[in-house]
Amino acid sequence: MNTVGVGTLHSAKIHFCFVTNPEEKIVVQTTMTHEEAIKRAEYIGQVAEEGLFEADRNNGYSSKLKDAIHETQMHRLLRPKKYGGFGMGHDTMAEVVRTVAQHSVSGAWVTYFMPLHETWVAMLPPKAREEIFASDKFVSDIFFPIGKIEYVEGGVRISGEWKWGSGIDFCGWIGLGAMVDVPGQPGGPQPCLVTVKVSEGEIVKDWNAFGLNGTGSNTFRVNNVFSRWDMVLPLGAIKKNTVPIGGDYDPSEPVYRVPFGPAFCIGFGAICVGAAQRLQRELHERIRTRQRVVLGMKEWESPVAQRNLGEVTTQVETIEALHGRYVKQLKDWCIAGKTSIEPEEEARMAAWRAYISRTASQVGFRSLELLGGAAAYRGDLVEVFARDLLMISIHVGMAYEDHMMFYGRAQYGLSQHPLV
Amino acid sequence: MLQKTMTHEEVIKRAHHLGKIAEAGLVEADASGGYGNDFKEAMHEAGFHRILRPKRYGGYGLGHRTMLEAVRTVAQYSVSAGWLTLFMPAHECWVAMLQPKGREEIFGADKFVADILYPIGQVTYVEGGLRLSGRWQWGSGIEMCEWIGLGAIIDLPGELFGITGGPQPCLATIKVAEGNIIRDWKAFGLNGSGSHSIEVKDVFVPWRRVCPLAAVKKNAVPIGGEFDPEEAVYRTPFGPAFTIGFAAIALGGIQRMQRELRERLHKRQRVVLGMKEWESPVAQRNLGEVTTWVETAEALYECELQQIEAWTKEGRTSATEPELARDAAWRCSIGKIAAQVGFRTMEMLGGAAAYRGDLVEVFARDLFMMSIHFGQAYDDHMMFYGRAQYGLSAHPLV
Repeated sequence: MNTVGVGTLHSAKIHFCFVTNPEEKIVVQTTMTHEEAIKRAEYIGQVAEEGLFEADRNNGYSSKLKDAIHETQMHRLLRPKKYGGFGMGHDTMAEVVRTVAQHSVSGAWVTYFMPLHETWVAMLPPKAREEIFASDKFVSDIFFPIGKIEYVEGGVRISGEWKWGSGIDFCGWIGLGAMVDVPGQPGGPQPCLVTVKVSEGEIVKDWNAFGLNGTGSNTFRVNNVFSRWDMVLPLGAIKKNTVPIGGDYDPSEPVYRVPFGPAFCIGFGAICVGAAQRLQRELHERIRTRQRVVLGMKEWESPVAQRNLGEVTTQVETIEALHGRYVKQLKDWCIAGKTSIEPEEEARMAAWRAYISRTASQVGFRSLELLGGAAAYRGDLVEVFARDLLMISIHVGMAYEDHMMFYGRAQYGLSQHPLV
Repeated sequence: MLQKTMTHEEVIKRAHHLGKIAEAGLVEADASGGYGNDFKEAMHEAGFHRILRPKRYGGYGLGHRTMLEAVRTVAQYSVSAGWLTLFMPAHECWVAMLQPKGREEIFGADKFVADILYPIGQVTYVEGGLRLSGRWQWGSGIEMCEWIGLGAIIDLPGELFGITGGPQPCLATIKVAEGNIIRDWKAFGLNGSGSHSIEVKDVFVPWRRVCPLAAVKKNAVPIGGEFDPEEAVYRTPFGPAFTIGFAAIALGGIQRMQRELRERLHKRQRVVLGMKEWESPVAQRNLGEVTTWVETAEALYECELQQIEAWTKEGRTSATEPELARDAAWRCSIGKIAAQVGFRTMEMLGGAAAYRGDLVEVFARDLFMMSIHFGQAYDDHMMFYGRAQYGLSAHPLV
């Protein structure tokens, strides 16, 4: 009954074939190639770029981006096959994210989180995995373990208010951070994600920041919401060895073959690299067309502009190289099935991410500086990208000063970053 | 009798041995403007100058990765020694481009070869070749070498070289003994490289010993044929294959600096802070940052090396202007990071590491010197990379 046809994305600048049913609705596909995923990412990117200005101004993307991600099924990239996922590797996800980021940093951020959050869902006990994956709704999370917990029969009741719920408006589920004493887990209370339905809480539309406005990272509030034990993920335990609670999993799935932390954070570097690549292209093209009245020449003819373009290009290629090293390291671990790494290894990956992110942020402001006032109008792609990249660089997973310190600590046998 | 085969692993083992000798002589080499005979003999015995040399001329015919790993390894013990270790095999690459008789003559002697690229020599054309005069600075390792290629603009006879287009930058090779070494090398850094000047007066150079650099840079095809196209040296663009060695030295140098920093911070007592330095979050932060810089340089270097290897595999001897410029920009970025690592390490370790002759002090000076070599000059190469992106020419020399 399935036919191959152009799906509901006919208005896009590019067209590709989906497996559809006669009503032209996309049905669940069971296989995916790397190339196809990148092709779809390009489509998402175009949707994201079209809505960039509006998303930046309105503090969040409209449902067009949500639909594009869901229709292209990118949220299922890493999900295990037994739950309707594609069971692909993190390298493919990183490339998808990098591709979207060339069009919109915020768009890539949201795109990244949808497959990413499914990786912790894959660590929940089997019953919760089945329920959440079967719903095929997007999953959000907010890690900070600040929720108030009351222990009740069969689970917990959670209350609290969390900021920075990226993409929360798009999601059916959300994991909320709290310190929980999980039955069967040694060591007392630990940082956990307590999963609830987004509809069980209240979204507080307060996201209006320096950058990354398009991520719609609104606040979320819940009051005394019940969550079953199988919906509570002990993050501390998972971070140690990436073994899902309650077993019943295929150990050949990439999601179960890598250390949780570095795999979880791979997309941040990918976003930064993708965005910096786009900024370099913008710089190249705009310098080419820019007339400098004060110099009496085309800007591209100036040795100073040439030098600066060369430098920015080299900075971008440097972080491409470091990101490539990150991806390769993760792939090597995936092949070896190494789910547990030394603190120094984990701290190194975080330091690399922080370096990539800081360089990307520098590329953003340098591009703005080099292109002058014409690129500085609110909503210009360069202006939005520069703000967005700075915002990434101050995210907890990328904070340069913190991660450099933790990398130094770890080299002396001390603990590394407690969260990422 | 020359050894005919060599493995990558054996090369690296020998590089560590050579490096240890270099480190033992580091202070003296820095103070006296060059390494002595002990180092020269150890380097010759290790046979690194023959790593890239075609097998038919007694070389090992190995790839660039092996040569560069030898260089990077030695540079972990001494930047100046890494510099010399690079130049001995690297200079044999242009010897491999000479006419067959020139190759046979020079490779047959199995002595080290120096060069100074700047095309400033004065040339008089005579029967069978030319007469060369001039004075050149910066002849790294010249005292260790039997031969030297000296830069000059030369109008090559088309019938011998098959090259048209008039005068071009060339290397005219003479015996070092035919010139006069002027021991004037005393600089901010890289003193151990013994980069003295040479003066030459009216020395005859047969055509077989003239290397047309511009032509070779274009396509790495040797003059007069008679070569095995399977040899790595004939399968790679000449310029990038030659100059990636600078990045290998810089990398080896900073890998050692990072280790020194880590170990010395661990031991250092900070009186003003009332604690061991390694316990300070500031020191930890700075160590983490320097380590990340080093690892970033490693990543960029590996990309450049993989590019070289891909070209070798493909047998692609000619790179486009943007490719050449990109390669140079990557090297310069590595060189600049390395110089920053050098001074940052000294800054963090304070006065105790700043004594003249301390390994950190010497490395910091040496790494900075490398970063201002014309093949590494950051601002120049960034400009050329930008130029090349708009279809203009890349750097005229490297």
